[in-house]
Amino acid sequence: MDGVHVVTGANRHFYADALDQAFRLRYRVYVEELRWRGLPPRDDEREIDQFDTLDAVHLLYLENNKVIGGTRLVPTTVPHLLSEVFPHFAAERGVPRAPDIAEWTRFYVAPERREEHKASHVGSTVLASMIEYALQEQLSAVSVLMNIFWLSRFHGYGWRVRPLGLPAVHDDEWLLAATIDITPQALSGIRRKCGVDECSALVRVGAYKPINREKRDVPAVA
Amino acid sequence: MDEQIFDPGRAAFAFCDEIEGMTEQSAVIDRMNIELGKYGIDAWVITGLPMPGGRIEEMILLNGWNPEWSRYYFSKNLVKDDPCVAHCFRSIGPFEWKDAPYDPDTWPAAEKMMHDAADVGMRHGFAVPIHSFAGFQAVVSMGGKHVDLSPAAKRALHLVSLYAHHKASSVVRQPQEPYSPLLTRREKEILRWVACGKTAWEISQILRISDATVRQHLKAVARKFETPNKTATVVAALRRGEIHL
Repeated sequence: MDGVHVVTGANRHFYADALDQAFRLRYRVYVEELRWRGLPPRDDEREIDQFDTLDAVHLLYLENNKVIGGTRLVPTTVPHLLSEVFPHFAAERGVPRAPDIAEWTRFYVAPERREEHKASHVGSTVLASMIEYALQEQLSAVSVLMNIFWLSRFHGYGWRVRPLGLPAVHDDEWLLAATIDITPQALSGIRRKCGVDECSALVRVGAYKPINREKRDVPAVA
Repeated sequence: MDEQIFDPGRAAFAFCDEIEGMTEQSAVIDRMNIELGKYGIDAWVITGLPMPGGRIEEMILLNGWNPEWSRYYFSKNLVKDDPCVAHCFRSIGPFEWKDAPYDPDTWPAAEKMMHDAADVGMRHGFAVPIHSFAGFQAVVSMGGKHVDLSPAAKRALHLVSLYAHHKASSVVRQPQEPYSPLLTRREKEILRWVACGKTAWEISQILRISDATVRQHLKAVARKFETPNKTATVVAALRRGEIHL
């Protein structure tokens, strides 16, 4: 089924091939295109780091079983990028650690699905799905370490972005750690700005595992 | 009684929180004046930058300059003599005015402009270019006679500028369209090779496309920018942030 599939520690056995595609796509984007330094070196053309554990949630946009985009969320109650590798970016306000805050890292779209001069439909759908998933999981916010270029994009969606620290340079890029409020307005904001459908693209299959251990109800399994 | 030690970071966060809910231009201007005043800054502006030959007045989002300097700057169209303007397209990160390079021998007008600014109390300053994925958007520029530009102050002012620009572009009655990128990926790629000094034929060899195709792309870009030759086209592309060296 086409859509943005929720892949967690509880159902990832259905998604072995999709996850592998995602790690290979991440390699193309982060190692080959963006040439990020400091990623754990691998020689199997897959980009996987120490936070791709059973606690991670991958949102993978599948079209005819092919991964064309994706993103990742990790609970802040376990080791994550900001807490383990980049805490200095949140030196002033502290690294948020709470059951209802997840860290948002890795956002990627297959190069052939990108669009000139504007946010691609695939990318916008993944972003909107991330917000929608976070809302369903009763997250209050997601934390992120991002290039400051993203700030004007997120403000354009009407997202409330709260800095955790001051901007600083890493690897020739200006980065800022921040949290983004997860609200219905954040979801409608990006859908409206990017012309993404009001109806959900999320697909949930198999056993349910919440990202927020204090989430109140368990939804019926699809 | 213990003196409160001024914490630039904390002040910057409070600024970002407080302007979030503002909807009136005047409120944002007042809050900017208060915040920047803490660093000795008494003149500032948030503005887009015009194409070569264009005028800056149409691109200003919020003007915190003193009116005499504004009038002087506009009447003499100093945007063409301002070394900070040129540097905005080159620099992703913030920079002090004194670090915007110019050669006083070959660009005496720039030297004069910086002296004129110092004469009206803008001796030291800091500029924060705002870039997005689409390229250069605007600059937040600020100055005064004695300005705190310590590393901690600059980091705080960087954050303040990022949020002030966002707020300025959403509360100003007629926001200027940010630069929308004009060039395709291929056009940018070809221009970058031209900027490195390659001829059309050399580029055709590098990219494995025909010489005629390269020339066609260059003609298309020259039409978009209304530039008469390859050099002017490259300059226009650099100024708009479509390509970087």
